Amino acid sequence: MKTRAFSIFAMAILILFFSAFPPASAQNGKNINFLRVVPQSSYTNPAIVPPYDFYIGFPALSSLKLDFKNTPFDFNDVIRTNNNDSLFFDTQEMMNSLKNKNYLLFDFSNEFIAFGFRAKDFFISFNFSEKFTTSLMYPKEFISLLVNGNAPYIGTTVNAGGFDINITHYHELALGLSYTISKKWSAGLRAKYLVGVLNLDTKKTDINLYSPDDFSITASTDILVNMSIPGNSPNKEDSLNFNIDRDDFLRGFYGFKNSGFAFDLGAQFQPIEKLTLGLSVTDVGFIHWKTGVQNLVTNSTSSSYTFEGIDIGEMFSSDSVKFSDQLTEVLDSLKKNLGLRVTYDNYYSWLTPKLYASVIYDLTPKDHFGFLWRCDFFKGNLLPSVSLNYTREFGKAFSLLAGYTIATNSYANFALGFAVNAGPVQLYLMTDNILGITQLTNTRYANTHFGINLVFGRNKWYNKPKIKVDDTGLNR
Amino acid sequence: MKKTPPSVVFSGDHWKSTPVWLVVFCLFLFLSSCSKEDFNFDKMTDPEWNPTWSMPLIHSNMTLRNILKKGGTIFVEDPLTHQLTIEYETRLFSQSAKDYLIVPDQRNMKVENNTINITVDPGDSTWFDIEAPYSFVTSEEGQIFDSIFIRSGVFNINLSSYINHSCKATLRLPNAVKNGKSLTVLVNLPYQGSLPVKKTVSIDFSGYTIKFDNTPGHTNEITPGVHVIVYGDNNPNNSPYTFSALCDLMNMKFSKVIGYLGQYSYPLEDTLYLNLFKNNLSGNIQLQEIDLFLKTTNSVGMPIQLTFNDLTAHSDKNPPYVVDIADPSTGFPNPITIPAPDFAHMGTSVDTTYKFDETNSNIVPAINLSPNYIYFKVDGLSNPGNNPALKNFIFDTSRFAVDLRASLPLFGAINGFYVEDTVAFDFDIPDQASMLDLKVKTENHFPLDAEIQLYFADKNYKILDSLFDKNDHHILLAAPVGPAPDYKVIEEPPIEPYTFSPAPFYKADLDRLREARYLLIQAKLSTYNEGLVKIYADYRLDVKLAAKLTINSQN
Repeated sequence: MKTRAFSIFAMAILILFFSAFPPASAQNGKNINFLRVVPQSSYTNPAIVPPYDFYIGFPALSSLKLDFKNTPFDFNDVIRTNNNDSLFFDTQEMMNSLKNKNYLLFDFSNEFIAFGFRAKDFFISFNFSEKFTTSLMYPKEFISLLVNGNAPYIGTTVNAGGFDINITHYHELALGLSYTISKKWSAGLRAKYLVGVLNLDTKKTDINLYSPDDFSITASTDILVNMSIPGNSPNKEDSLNFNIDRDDFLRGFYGFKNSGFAFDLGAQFQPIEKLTLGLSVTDVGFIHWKTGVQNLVTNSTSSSYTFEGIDIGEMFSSDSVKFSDQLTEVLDSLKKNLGLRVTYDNYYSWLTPKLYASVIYDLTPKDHFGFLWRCDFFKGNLLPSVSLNYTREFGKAFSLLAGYTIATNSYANFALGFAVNAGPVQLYLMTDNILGITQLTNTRYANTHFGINLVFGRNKWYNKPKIKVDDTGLNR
Repeated sequence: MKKTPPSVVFSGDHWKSTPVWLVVFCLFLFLSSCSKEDFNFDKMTDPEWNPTWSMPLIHSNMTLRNILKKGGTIFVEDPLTHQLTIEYETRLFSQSAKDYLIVPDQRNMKVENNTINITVDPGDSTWFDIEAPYSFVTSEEGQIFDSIFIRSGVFNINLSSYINHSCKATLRLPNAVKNGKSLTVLVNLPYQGSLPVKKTVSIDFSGYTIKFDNTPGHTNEITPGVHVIVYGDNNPNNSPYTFSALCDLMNMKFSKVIGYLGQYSYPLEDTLYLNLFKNNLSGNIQLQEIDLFLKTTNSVGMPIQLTFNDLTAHSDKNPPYVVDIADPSTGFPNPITIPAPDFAHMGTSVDTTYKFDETNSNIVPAINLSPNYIYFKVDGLSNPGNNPALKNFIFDTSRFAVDLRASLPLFGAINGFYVEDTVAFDFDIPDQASMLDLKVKTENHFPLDAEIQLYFADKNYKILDSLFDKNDHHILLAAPVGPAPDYKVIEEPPIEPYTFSPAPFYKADLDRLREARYLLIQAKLSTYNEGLVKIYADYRLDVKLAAKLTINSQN
């Protein structure tokens, strides 16, 4: 038994190695919610109680997540092969793929410290993680402007901006508390202390361009872009010049000046023995940015400028007036009319909250069917996804999950994951889209969640199989 | 009963079947390896990208002042009618007092006597006088000075005594007066055993007034003299003795001179360029009212006469190519005597303006030649009567200046006035450009029609292409004009913008135009219906230029 468990564990390591740990990245994955033997499954719902007395994550390897999503197209959609076998980027195909709103998301998270323990009806957990999240919503109109130019938009208004960006690097110190209220109910809360390292956050990015004809362009803007860069000490002269000290930049990774708070909240309900309903919300929180802050802002009440061309009249009447002088005058006028300025105000940025609603049906104590609806809330944009999965527990040593997820504009996502317990050592690997690992060029969504934990005291809490089958093939 | 912990039990058939795991493992390897070739970015070529950008390039709202301001063109606006007049002005001549009159140094005024007989007893004294009239040297022949007021100067005296007795000499210049006193200098000449006894004295001559003797037989005469007192001693009497005083008046600057200043010649020759016609190829502008002004400013108390030897307009394009503006048959006044201030108005300036128009000159046909320039050659002569009895005056601040101004009220007709100009040009456009489409929109409030052609030329001026390939090159349509006498542009109904667009430039055209280094501009101007118009200050030309540029990244 031990040999088999070890074999399984070793095979799992090999699979990881030879898969060359693909460059996919994971959000808080969706299907991890259903791999309940993994303590990190409670990160999707703090009400989930790990079936252990105690666990401790392997330092810096207990939860390594990468997640990538590009909703409108994948690599093969836009990179085509010519007749001469060369590759080219097909811009028109890209345009055909775009929706009104398109998303590019990249998340990385690494857990340095994690542990949890049971105390009567409570399960208390603690973890310290490093997180890097990038979320970009880019409108089709903006890309169309870049690809096709502004000529097709003569006579109409086009928004040359309208995108949402949030790039955040922060540390997270979380304290979780799960409480089994009764046989049917459990609830949980995870309180998080956040320390921001680096941020770029857009509040408003509207740049509306209107050309009634070829002879004028009117730009009206409403822009507020905030950024916080460690080690940045701007000269405060209404300039976007960055003045970053290298040592201060590195020190910024360990500072505590940009603090914030977030929480996860969840509940589980078992109306009948075989059915478990879960509802949770995670990453509801903010960070208050105070160091290396710069804001790019336009005055929304009067931000409008019409350009009809350079005035060359002065050049006719004076040799000292140069074309470059007139161009400078236009740029100054543009800046003044749009009220474009740089300020240095502290600001708040919000995390991307996620809402989970799950249903688990236990066909048998070892066979579980799950349904998950998840929705990310990114700056007023909703990114829903739906997952269906099947989890099979092969005793206490091995759990296997397979599933299918429909995410935003992504319909061929096959989840696969497993958790192997060899004694107290648990190794798990989860992906919400196996094709994202094996066929990266053909996927819009890829993620991986990997980790190693040491788990103890699971026997009391693990579902025992109803049927035992040993090597002789005889039922006992 | 012994409590057995639950155990992991696997289905032996499943888990003994290691090939299942191998298949899974190999599947991972296989599928992972699929993506390697797809990321071979060495095979990547430029993306296909064909945006078209529409950009406003130029927008100018110009008045005539903006268009013609360079090159010294002066605009004058009538305060009542607001009609515009173009003026060209040049200074023909300007001379200040220091250029007129220089008071030369007066050297070696000798006051001497070498036959002095002196008998004086020891302890006693005697005296003698010497006077020597001196005729002041003038800078110009014929000048007769009454008086010269000296602003600065130096009076040097070199005394030499060959008398073997001590003396005291008083040098006098009765003609030089300051504060009511004539110039007197006392010099001691002690005899100490050697001869001659010499002394040099230098006197500041500032503030003195020299009054000259011009009575019959005397001209510009001053009379320096010396009074010598000789003191007797036991030295022998060596008469006759010699005594001399050598005087210099040096570095004199005057503040005023009164007298007859003589007759001077002032040759004046210059060219007045008219930028309005600078680039004219052919055709002309028929202006209805043209004036030529000669303005003199004279604070020298001396009459001056100007004789026009040549005042002609020249065009190398339009016949008859030369027009004599000062044709005597037109009644052109020649010569002209420039008035001067009289003695009652010493220190003031007399400004006089002479106007030459169609009644006394050929200025109208001269300008309607559309000349490149007006050439003039004028001889000036002071004291033309050459009468020495005439009194002149001049201050050190006096000045005589002559200015010529051509005034062209913008009232006339233009018919096929061709202008041409060449400007440096650089067609700086991206290599990826595949199409350039230009559009021009004009709102013309001038009653002027304009057809324009632009030629792109390389560094050797070889024509590469033209902007327009159609027959009609109109880019400005003349605004309609109302009737006489105002000939003003009719603004109701409002003047509509006129938009036109030359044929687009495609890649082959753009590649050719990258060699362009010059732009040859040819324009043909005509007034509304080729009739009479007036140009007012509020007329403006609104020009907009926009471009549509298509990029092809594959280029």
